[in-house]
Amino acid sequence: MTNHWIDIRNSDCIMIIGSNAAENHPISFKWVTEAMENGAKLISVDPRFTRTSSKADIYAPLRSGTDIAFIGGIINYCLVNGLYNEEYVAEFTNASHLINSGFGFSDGYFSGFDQKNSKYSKSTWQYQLDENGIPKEDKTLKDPNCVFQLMKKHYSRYDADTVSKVTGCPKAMFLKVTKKYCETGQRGKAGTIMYAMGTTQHTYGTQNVRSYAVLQLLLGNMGLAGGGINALRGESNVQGSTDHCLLFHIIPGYLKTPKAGDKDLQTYLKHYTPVSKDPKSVNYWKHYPKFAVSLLKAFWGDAATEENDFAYNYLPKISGNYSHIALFEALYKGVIKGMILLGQNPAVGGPNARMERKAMENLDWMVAADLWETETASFWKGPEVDPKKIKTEVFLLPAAASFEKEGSITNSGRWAQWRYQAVNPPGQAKDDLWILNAIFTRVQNLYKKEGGKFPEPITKLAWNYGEHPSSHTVAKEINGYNLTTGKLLANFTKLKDDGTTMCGNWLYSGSYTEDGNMMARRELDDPTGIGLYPKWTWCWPVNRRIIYNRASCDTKGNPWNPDKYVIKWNGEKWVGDVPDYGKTVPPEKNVGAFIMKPEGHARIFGMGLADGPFPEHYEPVESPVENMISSVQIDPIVKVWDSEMDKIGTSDTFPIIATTYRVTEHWQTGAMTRSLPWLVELMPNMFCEMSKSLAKKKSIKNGDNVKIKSARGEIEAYALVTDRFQPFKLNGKVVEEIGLAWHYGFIGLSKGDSANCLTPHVGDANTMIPEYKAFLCDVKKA
Amino acid sequence: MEFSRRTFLKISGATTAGAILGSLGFNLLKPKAAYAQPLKIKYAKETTTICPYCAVGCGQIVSVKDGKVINVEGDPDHPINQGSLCSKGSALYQIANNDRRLSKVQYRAAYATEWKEVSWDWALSKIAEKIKTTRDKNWVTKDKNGNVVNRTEAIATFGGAALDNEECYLYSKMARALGLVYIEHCARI
Amino acid sequence: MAEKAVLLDLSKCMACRGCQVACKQWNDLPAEKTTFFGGPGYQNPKDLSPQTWTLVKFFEKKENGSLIWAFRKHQCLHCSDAACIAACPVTPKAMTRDKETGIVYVDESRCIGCGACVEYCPFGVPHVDEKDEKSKKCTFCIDRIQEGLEPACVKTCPSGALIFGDRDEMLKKAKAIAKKLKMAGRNPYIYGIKELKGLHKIYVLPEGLDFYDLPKSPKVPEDIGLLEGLLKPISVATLTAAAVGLAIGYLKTVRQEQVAEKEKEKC
Repeated sequence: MTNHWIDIRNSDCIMIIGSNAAENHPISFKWVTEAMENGAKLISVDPRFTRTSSKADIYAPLRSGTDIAFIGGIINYCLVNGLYNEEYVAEFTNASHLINSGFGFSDGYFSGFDQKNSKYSKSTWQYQLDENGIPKEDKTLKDPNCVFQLMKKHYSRYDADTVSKVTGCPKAMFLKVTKKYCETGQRGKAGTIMYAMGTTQHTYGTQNVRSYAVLQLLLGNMGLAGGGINALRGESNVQGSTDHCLLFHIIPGYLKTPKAGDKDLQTYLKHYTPVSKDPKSVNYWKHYPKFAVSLLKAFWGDAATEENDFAYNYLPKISGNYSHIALFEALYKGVIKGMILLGQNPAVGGPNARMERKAMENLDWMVAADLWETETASFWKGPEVDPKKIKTEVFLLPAAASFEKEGSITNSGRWAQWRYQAVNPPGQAKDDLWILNAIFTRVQNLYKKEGGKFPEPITKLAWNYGEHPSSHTVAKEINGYNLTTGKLLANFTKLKDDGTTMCGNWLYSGSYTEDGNMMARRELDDPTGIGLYPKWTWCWPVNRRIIYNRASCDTKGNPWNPDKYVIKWNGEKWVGDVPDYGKTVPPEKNVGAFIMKPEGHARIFGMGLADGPFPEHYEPVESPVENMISSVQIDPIVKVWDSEMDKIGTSDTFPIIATTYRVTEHWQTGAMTRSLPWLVELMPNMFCEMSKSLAKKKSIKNGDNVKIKSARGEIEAYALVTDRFQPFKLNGKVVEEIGLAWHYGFIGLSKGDSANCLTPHVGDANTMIPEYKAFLCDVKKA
Repeated sequence: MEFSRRTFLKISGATTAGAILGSLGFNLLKPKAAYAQPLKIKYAKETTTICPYCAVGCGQIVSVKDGKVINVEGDPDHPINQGSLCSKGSALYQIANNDRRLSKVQYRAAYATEWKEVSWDWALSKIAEKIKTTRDKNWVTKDKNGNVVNRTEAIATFGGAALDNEECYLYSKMARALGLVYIEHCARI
Repeated sequence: MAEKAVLLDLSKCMACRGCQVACKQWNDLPAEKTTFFGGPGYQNPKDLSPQTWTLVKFFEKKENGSLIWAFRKHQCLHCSDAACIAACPVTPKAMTRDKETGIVYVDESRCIGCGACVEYCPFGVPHVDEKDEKSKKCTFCIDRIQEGLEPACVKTCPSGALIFGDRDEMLKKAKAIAKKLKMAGRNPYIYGIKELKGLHKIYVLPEGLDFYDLPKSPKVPEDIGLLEGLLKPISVATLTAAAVGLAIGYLKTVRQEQVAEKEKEKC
């Protein structure tokens, strides 16, 4: 979230799209409701009428996977009718920047597409530079090569009629949403977009999010109280686990995992430290070397010296993609021999789960730590499996629950909150800190004793946590120390690139300082009155509660909405929230409101994306219709895998759209809810929601057992026949959509077939997040 | 400024009693004799925690008596949830009191049809051996272009968005030190 | 202590069912074995029971092309004119009203599990637990109220759909909410002002009275006095559930006959 949960109350218009906040983040509705009590309007855009929609002022149905068409339509309406915040757009975004005149877009392809390698060359997706190497701008936004004009042209194709044909949302309903939401472009108004996996889990999920960002920038909603684009994250510490980069492509603090070819530290730092020739630019990532060297010092301590490149050589280097889907493809091919899982259950949660379960059969060993037995740990007991043929040795380790250990977790609003131990874990169960330490110290001892392949990164790792690591010790390491004084760092501005500081994650520097554990604070001061609670726990970065908050004021430093100001310039300094700007840098210096970008401007034109600088509508890999906006059917960058279990279905065999989702009463793969009797009582069985028209056509009655089949598999579920699903009219063609809860599996107090046995193994062009939200199936009575 | 736990629990206790009473316009109450059931959490030890389900980050108070969790409810001081919880958060008690919870180390041998109970020590030694053997057997020093890569593609780690930050960090540190590249978790999916 | 009430503003309920679980948790109630689904929408269990004292019911309708999906938390309404108390045959009565707050609760030390309250409650609330032969229902969390805490369901409600306070305050709030809903074009009804001389769980029903599976004009059954009369000869010490059951059965037959007769007259 750019903002945070409480801040939703400051909004004038809340659009929930790609999220079902009332069901999956129920407490968010404390703040949605408060906003509505104060006059805010709630818009729910969803293929299905949900518990969120039940509370909305406007509900607009939208076929799964057509967000870009929908939002593109709003962008077009906003531009054509001049509903954007012109000062904001011209001054804070790159709308004024001139793009290489070779840039273009033609029938679904941006310039530079390399058909053979399914890749874009981005040479034309670049700013025009002046003689000093600074991007050229036209603040009047009139130059035909400026981003604003290119965008206007791009989205002129997204007129209301086209949007309606593509999305299945009736035109009048689309326009109702559009007009209401565009009102937030007025000075003093703020609109927020709340989104979740309905947005991201598509082959163009990243571009879905970008389309929201573009709209929010046009309306001047970024940085404001009650504004922002707010990803509602699903697991209690998925924000923290992402920040600490339990992902192949990044290392703690969103630093890049070195690639093969980043041969030494200097090459690596040069590769990833952005440069700006603009003397005004803050270009905050210029500090990259300080973050990276301090991390290496935290990892390898005294063994990381200037002479040995701070042990840079110890870091593994990647060549290619190792993300979830690629991982299971490699496992399927037998590349991976061993797997360690701490609290994760891909046998239910992974896409094409039958294929992922099958792939697990290639493992020599698996280590799984969890609170309950999971389908993953017990994949050898699953349907279609004969355990006597499975070679895998499995170690299932009993883990401690949240209140059986002490430590911090980071919520969606980036608040790192400390929690305490209430009781001991049951029996021999142990917390994960103990488990990780117990495993690693044994590995380290083996290497110390026996040697082995390249043992130094292991033997020399700074790992002195004793028998049971203290979460305080680790939290302090994450915060970082000045190695000369031995004192904890006050924040990341104190970091150095010469080896005199260490810091496990620069983003968390400031969370545990000489003044104490900031994450454990419980003071309820609210000096600005907008609910920032700056002394309640701690939030990254540097306790800034709303990021990009410089954009909450106009160029002169006056808040767009003085009644709900986030920061403001008092003549000497910025007051309010921790400014996302130099605290004493006056507004007239105009160093750029978005300091993390080298050009200081938010990017409406995003040259960093793999599949185009503007979000463009494509169809899901499995779709019942042809792309009505261009002749390019699917995102051209998407990789389709080719194992024998990676089948793609077509609409002649599978005419119905399927989507997956969660319900309030269960959580993720059900591993932490399907063994809780009270929750099982509420939601005992796997079910499939469908429209009355589809049910009638298939002679299905409410409560019947039905079979749902995709190109990957078949599952059974109870039918829930409801008006809350309606068929979509797509350019005259009527298409049905069904919905599947994905919580169920073959282990637990309540069991049921897994919806992911049906989902495809394809991922987003930029992030490889799987396409869980739009695929094809057929349904029949069981 | 640092808040010791003792201090905030006092504040929390005072608020539960005081703020709620005040906001409801109660005078300090005299328990009514007619309904004789005593308040079960009255003499329990209270600990604050954060809900382990979604990422709203609601505060919860866990009440413990004789080493057992006897009640869980929302933390009324917490500015996000102000004492409220959804059905999942309200069910936390059943994570603590649940006869299906794993309490012993389980091992499944190759081709076995059942779990077998084993000791931590045995399991950990075996796991360490497996990690080392697999890593050493599948170590890649240089890629096919001659670049030094120092990695193994034969071991993958998963998890965990349900772990604490400190656990995530150590997990990340350990995986990188082992030279792993297949490092993934729920944030991707 | 003043008379208390819980206001259920259904315009804010989103059926997260935190209340349903919080009630079970606070009152140590076990889960029921359920299957898909106990009622319309996601409702489960099917009904209130000795193990389920509150339950969110789901309602769905299409109106002028748009859909309404509404939810009502069902539980004891703590009536001022409570049929369960009138029906309770033991002396002193097991079904008890706390005079100050208006809360109606079962004093289990006196309850003989006869089921008179079950029979006469117009809302189908109390249920006799076969295990201990006691009548069970929402206690309004009177143990919490007495210690200055809100009821467990109110405490857990995220969206402000449940509010607890003095009854006159809650009525004022209910009227203000209803007025606002009316201005927004809805058709609200406040349930609990007059019903059974005033309820202590007061609903604001945004879609009007007809939509939520509530009796339109709930009444204490007329023959409830007869029950007392029938049982009078039996001394308190020897009063058994079986005897009450017999009496109830008798009255039921009488009532059915009366209804049948009335039907006949109509013909």
